[in-house]
Amino acid sequence: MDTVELPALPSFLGAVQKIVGKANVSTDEFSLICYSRDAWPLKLLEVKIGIMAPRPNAVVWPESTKHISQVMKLANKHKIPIIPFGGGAGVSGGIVVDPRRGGVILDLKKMDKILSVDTESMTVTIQPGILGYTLEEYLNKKGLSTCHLPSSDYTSTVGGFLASRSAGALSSKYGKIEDMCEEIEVVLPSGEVARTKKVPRAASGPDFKQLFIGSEGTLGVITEATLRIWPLPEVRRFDSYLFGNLPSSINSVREFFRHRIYCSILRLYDDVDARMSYGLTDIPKDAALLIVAWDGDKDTVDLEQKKCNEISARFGGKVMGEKYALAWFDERHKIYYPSRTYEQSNMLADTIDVSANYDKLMELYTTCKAAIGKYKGLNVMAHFSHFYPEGGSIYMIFVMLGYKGQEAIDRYKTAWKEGLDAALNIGSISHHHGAGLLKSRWIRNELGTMYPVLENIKKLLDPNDICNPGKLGLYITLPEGGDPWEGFQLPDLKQVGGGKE
Amino acid sequence: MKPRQLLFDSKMCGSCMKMCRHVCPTGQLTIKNEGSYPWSRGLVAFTARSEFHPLNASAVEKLYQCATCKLCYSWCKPEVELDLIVEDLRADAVQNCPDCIPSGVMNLAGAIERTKNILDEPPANRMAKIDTSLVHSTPGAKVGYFIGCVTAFRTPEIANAILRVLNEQGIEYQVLGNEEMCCGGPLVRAGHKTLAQQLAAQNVAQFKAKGIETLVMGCPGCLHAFGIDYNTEFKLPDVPKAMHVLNFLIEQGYHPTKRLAQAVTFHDPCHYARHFKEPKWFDIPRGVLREMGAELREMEWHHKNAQCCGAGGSLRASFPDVASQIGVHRIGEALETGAKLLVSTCPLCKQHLAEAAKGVPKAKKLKIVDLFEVL
Repeated sequence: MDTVELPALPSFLGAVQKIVGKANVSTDEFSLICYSRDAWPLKLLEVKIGIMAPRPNAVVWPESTKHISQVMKLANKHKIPIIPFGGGAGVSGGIVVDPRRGGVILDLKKMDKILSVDTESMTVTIQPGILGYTLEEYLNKKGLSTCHLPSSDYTSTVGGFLASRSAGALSSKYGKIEDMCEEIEVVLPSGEVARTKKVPRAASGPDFKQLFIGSEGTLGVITEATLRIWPLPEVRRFDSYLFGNLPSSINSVREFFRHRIYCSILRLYDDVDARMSYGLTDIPKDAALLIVAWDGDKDTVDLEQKKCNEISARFGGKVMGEKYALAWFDERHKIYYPSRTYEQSNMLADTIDVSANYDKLMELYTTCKAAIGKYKGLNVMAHFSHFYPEGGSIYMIFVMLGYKGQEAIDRYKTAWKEGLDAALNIGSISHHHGAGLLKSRWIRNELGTMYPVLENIKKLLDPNDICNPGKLGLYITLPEGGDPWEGFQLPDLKQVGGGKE
Repeated sequence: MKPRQLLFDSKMCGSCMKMCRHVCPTGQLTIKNEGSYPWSRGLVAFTARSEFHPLNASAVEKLYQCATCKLCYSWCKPEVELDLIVEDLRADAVQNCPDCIPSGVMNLAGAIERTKNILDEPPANRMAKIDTSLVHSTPGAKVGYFIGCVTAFRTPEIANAILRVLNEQGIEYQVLGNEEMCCGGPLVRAGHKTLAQQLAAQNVAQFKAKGIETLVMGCPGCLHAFGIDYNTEFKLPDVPKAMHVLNFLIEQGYHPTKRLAQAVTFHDPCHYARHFKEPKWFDIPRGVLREMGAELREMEWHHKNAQCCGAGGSLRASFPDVASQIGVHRIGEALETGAKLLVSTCPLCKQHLAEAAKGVPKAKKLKIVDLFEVL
């Protein structure tokens, strides 16, 4: 589907050029092609089979909040959709243009400054276009860290983290990005600039920054943020435990929290994923590998490790040493790279990032696995990637081998539809990857009775629906349903490989 | 690299999750357009080779926004050599879309056709800036010192320094004088492979006629041509063994005799250790500097992760403003070390960084030299 033409585009861009400068506006053809995808595996698959995705209509690079404010006013005047863009590293199509509305990419890469570091209150204030890696490197040289380390941070921006409610490798101790953000500045769809107060906590009404964190550009553009920072830990120690089954290992993790032990890394692999990821080919069926890290002063870490060893032993956990946990941490970026082996076998994998409380975590795992795995050719494995005192998230990973073209796309969509439908009534359909275009259709049911609240807020703040249309289920000026699911029906099971039904 | 592998690798690169974005000198440091990152060049190559998208002016522009510095390779887990993909497709573009090629690149080829040097200088002036009293050329010597275009016409002080050291070490060598021609490397980088191949054949014939068995040079760009392109790209017979003159001297047992008791920072030329995938080479110039008593202060990006000076891969000819901005960035990195001496082992890096430094007020006291100038 081609992107719709925007009749007002020339006059809009002409006015925008006067604000941001001619060099900061582009309609160059191949640049637009490069802005037509993020890291959504469906888009990567389309690239490989020669499907040229719908392109945005133009790109604008603002260099200040003032620029963005003026651009948004013009966008409202000309009814031009605006799609904020950081690294284009999301996996859900959050920046992919909805071709029925078109839109102009607002690339924030030229707003990438570190504005201040406050080592008394331990905060850093940044512009949204800075890469996670660049910020972390800068802080590490000063002995500091955000402790927000997503595997995509070579290529993803802090603005993107905030817009999609991202989680990093150390989330079990330090929280997700929404737990680390103290203050934000937002340019509203109207062009007005709104800013929350920089205070640790307040009881003066709702926390408005939480309205914009995770809003995926549908309610405005995040133009500045203040994040919590930490001194680098004296010790980051790694260990792993092998359990007989998943329930025992989950019980063990739950006990860690009940003993007030907040490990920085808690990742739990089912037997299939443990074999795939760590080469543990001789582990028993149903076994589970838990990898762990503790951050802190040496004596505190010593004690926490000792307690975790005792708790794990109670649940049948065998200490496996630091090897597996250290390997994962050191190679955590690897998952974001293509692989020659996988590429040669036409392998496509994706991850459905669901979450639930402990009372439903195993149900979520078994239900999703069964829903996706009933299709021949869709291999399912999982790891539980983030844990909290009340529950955790699961990476339901499906792997397809040897499929090409439309057949691969059908198979891919089938896995997603089955997985999300299964997760919807048990937990959340997204822990930290966001909704984007991929999950937009499910958001109304996910939010339930809160969806009308979101829709009303959207209508109030963005009556012309210019902010990233088609995302978060907000089809204000679109027909029901959204790309890529328009017209999609589950294929005949026989056609997708002779399912088990 | 075979066409099939080039296609496979460009597909992987063009559908990557963009994991080398943070290091690209053009994409991340300067242009900041999604189209100017490594993965976008992979996408240009894949879509063009698969005929999913034509190789038009917009696509070709993205190819020439690459410095072919190979820094993305240092971070690429599947080890995609994007510089080879880019050079291969540039050659295609030169043949099939000549109007799309940046004028600076076309001028470069025109200059070499006319004058056999990249700077469009009269060939008769090739030795004009060299101190002839230092040229102890021995006809028939098995070692040839290849001066190179940039050194001969823009940084002759490097040639003079190299000649002085060769003389001091008693090395018997010959130089080609005004008969020396461009190595052809800049043409390969820019996509003018046919012209480069003609030049390469002429060069090899000349070396053979003069009995040169080992060719030494102070320019990593020339080294790339003689050491890699002539063999793997052009598959020419009788190519003399090519060595950076520093490596050659170290192999001969060279030890510096002068002292350099000051803080120094070293800029790694892209076409030296990184392009040759020789990690031990990173520490050859550093070892010499340490032996001289220098206190080495590394820049933020160094060794295999060193940032490009901005001049390479015909970027200086195609997008001079971008090249200059990258140079300014590198000068900033050097200044952050606090060292007052920036040393490299490449005449083009020296020239480009020195020009960039002129636009940086804080760099007035920063001296930029080739290693041989302090030996």
